[in-house]
Amino acid sequence: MHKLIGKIIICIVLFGISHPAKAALDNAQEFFLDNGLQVIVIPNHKAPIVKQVVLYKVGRVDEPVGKGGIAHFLEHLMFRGTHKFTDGKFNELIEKNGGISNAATSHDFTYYYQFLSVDRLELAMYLEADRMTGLNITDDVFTKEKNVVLQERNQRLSADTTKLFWEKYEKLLWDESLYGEPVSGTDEEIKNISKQDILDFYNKYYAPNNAVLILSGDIDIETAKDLAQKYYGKIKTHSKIEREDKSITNTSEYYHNVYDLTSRRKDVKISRLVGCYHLSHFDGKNPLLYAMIVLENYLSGSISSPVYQQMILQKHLAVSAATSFNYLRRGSSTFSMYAYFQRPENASKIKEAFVQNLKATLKKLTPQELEKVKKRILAGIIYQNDNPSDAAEIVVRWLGTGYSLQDIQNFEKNINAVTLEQVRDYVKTLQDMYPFWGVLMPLTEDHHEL
Amino acid sequence: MNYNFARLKRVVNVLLVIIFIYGAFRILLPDVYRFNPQYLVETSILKNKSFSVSPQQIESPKLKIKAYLLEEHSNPIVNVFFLFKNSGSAHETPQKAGLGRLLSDMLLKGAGPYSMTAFGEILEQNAIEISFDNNKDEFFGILKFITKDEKVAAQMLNLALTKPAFPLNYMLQSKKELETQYQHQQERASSYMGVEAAKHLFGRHPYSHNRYGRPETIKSITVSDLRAFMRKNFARDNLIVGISGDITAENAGKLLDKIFNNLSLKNHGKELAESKIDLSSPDVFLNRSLPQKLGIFAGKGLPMSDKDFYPLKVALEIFSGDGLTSRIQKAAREKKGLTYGVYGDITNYDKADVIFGQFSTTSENFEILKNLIIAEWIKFGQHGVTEDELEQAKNYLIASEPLRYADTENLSAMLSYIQKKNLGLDFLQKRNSYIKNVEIDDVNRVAKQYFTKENLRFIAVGDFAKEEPKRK
Repeated sequence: MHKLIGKIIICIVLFGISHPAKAALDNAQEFFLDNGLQVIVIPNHKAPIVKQVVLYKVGRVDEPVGKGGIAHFLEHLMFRGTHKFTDGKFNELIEKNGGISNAATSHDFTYYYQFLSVDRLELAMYLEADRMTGLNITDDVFTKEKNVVLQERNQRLSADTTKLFWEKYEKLLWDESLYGEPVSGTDEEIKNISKQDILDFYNKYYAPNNAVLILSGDIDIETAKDLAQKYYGKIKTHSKIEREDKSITNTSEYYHNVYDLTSRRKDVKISRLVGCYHLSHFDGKNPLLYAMIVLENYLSGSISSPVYQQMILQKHLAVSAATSFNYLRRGSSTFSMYAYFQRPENASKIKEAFVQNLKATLKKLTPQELEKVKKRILAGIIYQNDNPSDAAEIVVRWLGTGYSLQDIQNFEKNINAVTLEQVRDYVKTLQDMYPFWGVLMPLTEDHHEL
Repeated sequence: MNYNFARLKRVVNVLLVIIFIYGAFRILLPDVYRFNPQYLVETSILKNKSFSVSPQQIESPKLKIKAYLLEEHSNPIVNVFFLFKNSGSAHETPQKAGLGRLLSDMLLKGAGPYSMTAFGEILEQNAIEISFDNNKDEFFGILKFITKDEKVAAQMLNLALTKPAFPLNYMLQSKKELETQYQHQQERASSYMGVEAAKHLFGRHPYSHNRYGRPETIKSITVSDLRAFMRKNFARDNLIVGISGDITAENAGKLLDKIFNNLSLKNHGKELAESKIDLSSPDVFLNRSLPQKLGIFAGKGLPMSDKDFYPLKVALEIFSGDGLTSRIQKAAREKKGLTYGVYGDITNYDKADVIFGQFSTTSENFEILKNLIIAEWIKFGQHGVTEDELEQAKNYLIASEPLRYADTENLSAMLSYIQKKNLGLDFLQKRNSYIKNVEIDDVNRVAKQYFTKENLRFIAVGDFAKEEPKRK
């Protein structure tokens, strides 16, 4: 016992009392209610505010074929009345209490949040628990909201007229998979959705054992336990919710025989290009996930990265160029390359340069360089603890796509464990694959609009 | 038969008793068993979470630079926001439009003994974030760092502000990037509309300038233009600073001396003339092939120093606040779910105060929505608001106040603008009472003045060339 106290004192001396060593969301904790609801609490006491999130592990890819957009449409209807509250009451109550409330749907998950003063949290919990089971859709509301959903989609497309092109690109990239379909569904699909479709989906997937409750802000774990039990504890567990395995096997072979998707449009003023390697989904414990994160960051995470130094400063191929690795997806992940460029004829040189830079990693990435990349990735990780709202969003994106709280908290450890060998092996894997390219260019006089 | 009848009577009696007891119970029942949102809030175990913010004014020991500081030690993060008055895009010479944006990029391309790459790597390896930007009124910067890196962070920012390298080869690259941003702005309907709206509303006043410049003005900017801009505008006497996070008053003072060491004493910028907003010219409809139409509505607003500012703020919250329950949202939704968003608020520039609202709708519904906004606007001015609406808007504006403290970055910016607008050190404590004190008569009087047909003009973008397709 005394020895333990001694150790604690040494720790305090080493790390200082005010700021023990901190990592990303290191004080977050999790527990489960008897009905299966997973609860994650991220205490942050700097201001008396809190964000409540309820995340449902269901999204676009879980929808029946031909009925695209149910998850997103349902998300809208969740604000339009329950058996206890009429249409509009939810928003009115949250707003009256100074809260910001919204929701979002992705391919993998749907989530609802309220960001508000912590003294109003119980009200938000009451309302959120109520609509987990009490949704009530009148015919009138259903028809009106369908209009709103259709308009929202059109508004997004018109805010950025290149969106249609990227929708087409995604569709080809993902081949037959629902990951290639727009989350909102297409106009045709949205029109086809019936009230019963929505209710079936809701009854099947909206349940405590398919949800995560996140409380981020001025609340401690004990209070969170009491309140979670008080408001969500009585909701009944559903029979086991089976989600189809949506993981996509490597389809990169297929791109070898596919032409790039190219388009010229008169409303486009600057050329742009995207290339995408289609990779499998990585488990949070898989060291290759972290090797890939390091590789991507080496290629374009910095002013000293090869993509910027070589493609932009030395060869002037593009105005800007970057890569990104999106692993926060349940069924697969993608490694993408982007560029904006002024001379349309540079497109093929840019593609080549991306691939060359990847290959050159085998020779150019030194052990010292590797350590610098790791330090860069981890240096600012503590900033994630600053804003309780952002912290909750991080948890949403990881837990919504099949990762765990431990994966978030072990991120630092896992990045530090990456070896040069692992990165090189991954480069070799990518070398055997083909990216799928999309190029969008301004319409010039000697071309027709494509 | 009789037996059955008696039994039925007994059952009815029992039922009556049950109903009576249930009724009595309902009346006597404590609130908690019925739903009462107020009760939930008032009895919450979290209700006593109190919060008080008290920023302090500090002065650096050596250079005597004043700043507002809000100490907050829960995370080892410090944030500094600073601005130079009268140095925004409206203060640029029109032939060199875009200069401020170009400078904001070039300041990070190496400084003092460091090349661009070396400079960037020091920031990256320590997660020191430095960024610059401008708006119409001022050029500003943000510094964010982890407490232990204070010394390096201050040194790097000082070098950027006083000894930038401006290497020529990066200057070309930087111009290309700015030109791309300009092209992007022109491509996107909403940003294109914003630029055009400024032209039409501010006319000849420099607030009509585009801060991204134009391709030909960007090309003409030289390194000596950048240096001249810095000499003119980067000085201690037009500098305003806000600091928040894990730092004591004493250390914050020293930090200021380090960051702004070697900055000139006096600036040579000028205040702009007052801007008159042109609301009397006809509405503007910009033609572009889009599946939807987007619009801006604009009117004259009020400065924060005006006694009627808060009544107008509350009025706009009721008319077009960002929730789904604003007047205009409700009216639009009731017409068959007309739109996805209508939102409006006051924008305060140094020399203009404008009400800006935005909306979007399908092409064929544009006219209906625009007429609805006009009708509701005039109705609002003539009939004012209800006590309920006022209460709800005030509640929202007060209860949402603590959300502004989520981010250290917002805080330091807020502290800077409180100084710039002379709102007083105690503004953060007093702001809620300003809203609480707004009376229904104030709102209705201000509404009568500002929600008029004359104080409303539209600028929209969409497919205005073709004749509207008639709905079958």
